[in-house]
Amino acid sequence: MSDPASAVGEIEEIAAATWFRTVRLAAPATAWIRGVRHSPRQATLATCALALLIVAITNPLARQDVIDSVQFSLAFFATLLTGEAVIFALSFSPSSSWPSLREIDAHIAFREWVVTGWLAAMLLASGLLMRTAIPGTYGALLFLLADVFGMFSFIRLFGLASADGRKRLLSRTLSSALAQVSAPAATELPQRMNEDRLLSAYLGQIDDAAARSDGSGVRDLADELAAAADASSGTATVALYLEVVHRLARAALIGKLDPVVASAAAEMLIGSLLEQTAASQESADEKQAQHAAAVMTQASRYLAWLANTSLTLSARDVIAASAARELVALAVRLRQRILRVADPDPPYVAGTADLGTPLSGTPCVLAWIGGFTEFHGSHQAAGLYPVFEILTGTKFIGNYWDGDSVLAGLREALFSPGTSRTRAGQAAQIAFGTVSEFDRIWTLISVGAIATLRDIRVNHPLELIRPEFTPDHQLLGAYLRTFASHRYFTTADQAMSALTRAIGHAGQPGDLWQAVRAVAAPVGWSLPMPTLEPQARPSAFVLAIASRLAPLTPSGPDGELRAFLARLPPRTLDATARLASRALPETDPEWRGSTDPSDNIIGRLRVLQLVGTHRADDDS
Amino acid sequence: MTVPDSAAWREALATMLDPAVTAVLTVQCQLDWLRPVAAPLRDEIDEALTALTLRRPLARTDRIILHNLPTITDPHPGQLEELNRAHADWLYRLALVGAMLSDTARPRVHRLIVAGDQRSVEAVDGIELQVKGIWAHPDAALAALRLMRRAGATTPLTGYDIDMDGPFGDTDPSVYL
Repeated sequence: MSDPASAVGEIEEIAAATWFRTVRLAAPATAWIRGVRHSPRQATLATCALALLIVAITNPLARQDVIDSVQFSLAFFATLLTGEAVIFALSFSPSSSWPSLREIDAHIAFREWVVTGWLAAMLLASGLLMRTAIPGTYGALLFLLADVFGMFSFIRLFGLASADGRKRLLSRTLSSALAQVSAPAATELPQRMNEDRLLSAYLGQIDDAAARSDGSGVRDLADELAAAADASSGTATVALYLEVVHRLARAALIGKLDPVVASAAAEMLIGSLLEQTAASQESADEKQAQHAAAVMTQASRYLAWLANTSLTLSARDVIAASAARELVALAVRLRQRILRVADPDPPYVAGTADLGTPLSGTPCVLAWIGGFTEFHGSHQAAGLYPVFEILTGTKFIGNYWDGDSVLAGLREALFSPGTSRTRAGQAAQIAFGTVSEFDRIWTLISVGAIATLRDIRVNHPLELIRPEFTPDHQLLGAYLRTFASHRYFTTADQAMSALTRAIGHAGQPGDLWQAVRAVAAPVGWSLPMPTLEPQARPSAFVLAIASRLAPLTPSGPDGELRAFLARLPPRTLDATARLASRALPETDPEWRGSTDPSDNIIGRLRVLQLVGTHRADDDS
Repeated sequence: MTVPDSAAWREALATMLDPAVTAVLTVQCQLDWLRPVAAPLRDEIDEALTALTLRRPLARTDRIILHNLPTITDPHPGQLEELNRAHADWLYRLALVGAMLSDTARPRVHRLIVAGDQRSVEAVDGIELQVKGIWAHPDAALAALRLMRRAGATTPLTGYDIDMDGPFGDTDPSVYL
C-alpha cells in the first residue's frame, strides 16, 4: 500500500515540473511582452491588437463577411511573403553571419508579422469551425493588421536590398552591440567583447573579406564601424577599432589582402578615432580627457610597432616589400597626424581638429609621450615640444635637431627657483611634486623608448625610407639625446644611486607613475603588444642611466661613464652591451670592433655627438 | 591591519649612516609590509639599505623577508591576489637591484620559508645594527641570525632568473604579430 504523504509529494513534484516546463515554453512570449515597454513597434502592435479585440467583441461580423474579407487579406499576405522571400534570395548570402537573420528580423519585424498572421489564421479557423462570431471576426481583423505590418516589413526589407541601407542597418546593429558591452557588468570588458555574438560575427566578416581579398567588402565593413562609432565612442569602440586595424594590417602583411585597401581602411578608422578625440578637447570632463589620451597613446604605440614589424618582416623577405611600404607610409602619416592633434600650436594646420589639444593634465601628457616614444616611433623627438607647451603653458624656444634639450628646459621651467610659472606650469609642478620624482618619471619613460629602439643590424631598404623613418644615425642620436640630455646627476656614484632608486622604488597606488600607467590601460589589452613596466627591461634601464653620463661633445670627458659601467656586475654589463650593439651604431672608427663591453657601450653612445654637428659646420 | 612603526625604522636608518656601524640586519616578515599603506616606508628602507651598500660596501647587510605568504584565514575578495602581487613585485625589485650591484656590495636577502599550514611566522620584525662588531640588541640579533643559519629555514634571493635583456619582443617586435 502506498503512503498518502509520498503520493502527495509526487503530485507536487509533477505539478512543479509541469509549471517549470510551461514557464520555459512560454519564455519567448513573456520576453516579448516584457520587451513591449521598450519597443514602440511592439507597443503599437499590442495596442492595435487590443483595439481590434474590442471591435470584434462589440461588433462581431457575419460568417460570410468574415470569409469575404479574409479572401483578400490572405491573398495579400501570401503575396507579401513571396515578395520578401524573393528579395531575401537575391540580396543576402546564406553563408553570411553578418548580418545574421536575427538582425534582419529585428529590423523588418518579420517574426511579429508572421506570428500575427498565424494567430489570425488560428482564430479565424476556430471561429469558422465552431461557428462563433467573435474569434472569426477577430481573426479577420488581425489579418488586416498583419497585412499592414507586412507592408511595413516589406518596405523595410526593400531598404536593406541597397548597399547603403544594409550599411545603415549594420552600423546601427554594431552601435547597439557596442553600447551593450560597454554597460557595466560583472565580467571584464575584454571577456564581454569576446563573448558578444554580434561583435564576433562582425570580426569574422572582416577576416572573411580580408582572406578573400575583397577590397569593397573590407571598405564597407570599415565604413559601418566608423558610422557606428559616431554614436558610441567608449572604450569598447576604441578596442574594436584597434582590433580591426590590426586584423587588416596582419592580413596585408601575411595574408592576401591588398595593402592599399588595408592601409586606406586603417587610415579611415584611425582618422575617425582622432577626429572624435580632437572633438573632445572642448570638454572639461577629466574622464573624457583620459579617454582621449588613451586613444592617442595606444594608436601611437601601435603605429610605431606596425612600422617596425613591417620593416623587420620585409628585411627578412617574409612579406612583400609593397605591403611593408604601404604600412610604413601609413604609420608615419598617421603618427604625424597624431602629433598635430597633440600639439596645441602645430607648425601647420590641416583642419580644425589640429587646433588646440585634447591632452590635458600631467598624467595624460606623460602617458601619451610614453606611448609616442615607444618602438622607435617616427617624429618622437618633436613630441617633446607639445609636452613642454602643455605642461608649462609656454612654447619651447630651441630645436632638438640643434642639440637643445627640451627635458632640461622643462625641468628648469618647472623647478628652477625664482622662475615665474603659468597656471599650467604650477599644476604640472604640483603633479610631479618634487624634482626627484620628475627625474624618476622621465627616466622610466626613457627606458621604454630605449628598450624598443630598432635593431640597427636589420637592413633598412630604400623603399621603406620615409621622413623620420630612416636608418639615419644623426636622427637616432637626436631621439636618444632627447632623453640623454636630461642630466640630473654628473658622477658615477650619483648614477648608481639614480639607477637603484628608479628600479627599486615600487611607489604606491595613486602616485604619479601609477596615474600615468592607468591613463592608457583601459584600451591597452586590445593591442597585440603588451604594456610592460620599465623594470622588466633591466639592460635598457642601465643604458638610460649611462646615456645621461655619456659625453655630448667629442671633447667631453667619459671618465664618470666609465666608472659607472665599471661598478656593474659583468652579467648586467654584458646585457647592456648587447642592447647597445643592437640599437646604437658604431659611429667612431676609433671604437669600432671593440670586444670590451664598456668600450662598446661608450663607443656606441657617441651617436649622441652627431646631433648638432651641422651647427659646427655652419660656424666654420 | 597595522602600519609598521615608521618612527623606529627611520631612527634606525638615520643611525645606520654612522661609520661605526659594521653590520645591519633587518627582518620584515609581517604581511603588513605588503599592504599599500606600508609601501612608502618599505621603499624608504630599501633605498636606504641600497645607499648604504653603495657607500660602504664593507658594511654587511642581511635582510630576512618572506619566501611565501603564510595561510590567511578568511581573506577579503581580492586580498590574496593583492598581497601576492605586492610580494612578487617586492622580491623582483630587490633581486633586480641586487643584479645591479657587485657581489661584494650586494645586500644578502634571505627568504624565510613558510610551511603550507603555517598562519604566522616566528621571526620578529625589526632592524638591528652592529656597532664596531657588537650588536645593539644581541638577543634579537642572535635570534634572527640563528633563523638565517638554520638549514632549510631560509633560501637566498638571487637574480639568476632575471632576464637582463628584457622581453624578446623588444628585440624583435614582429613576435607580437
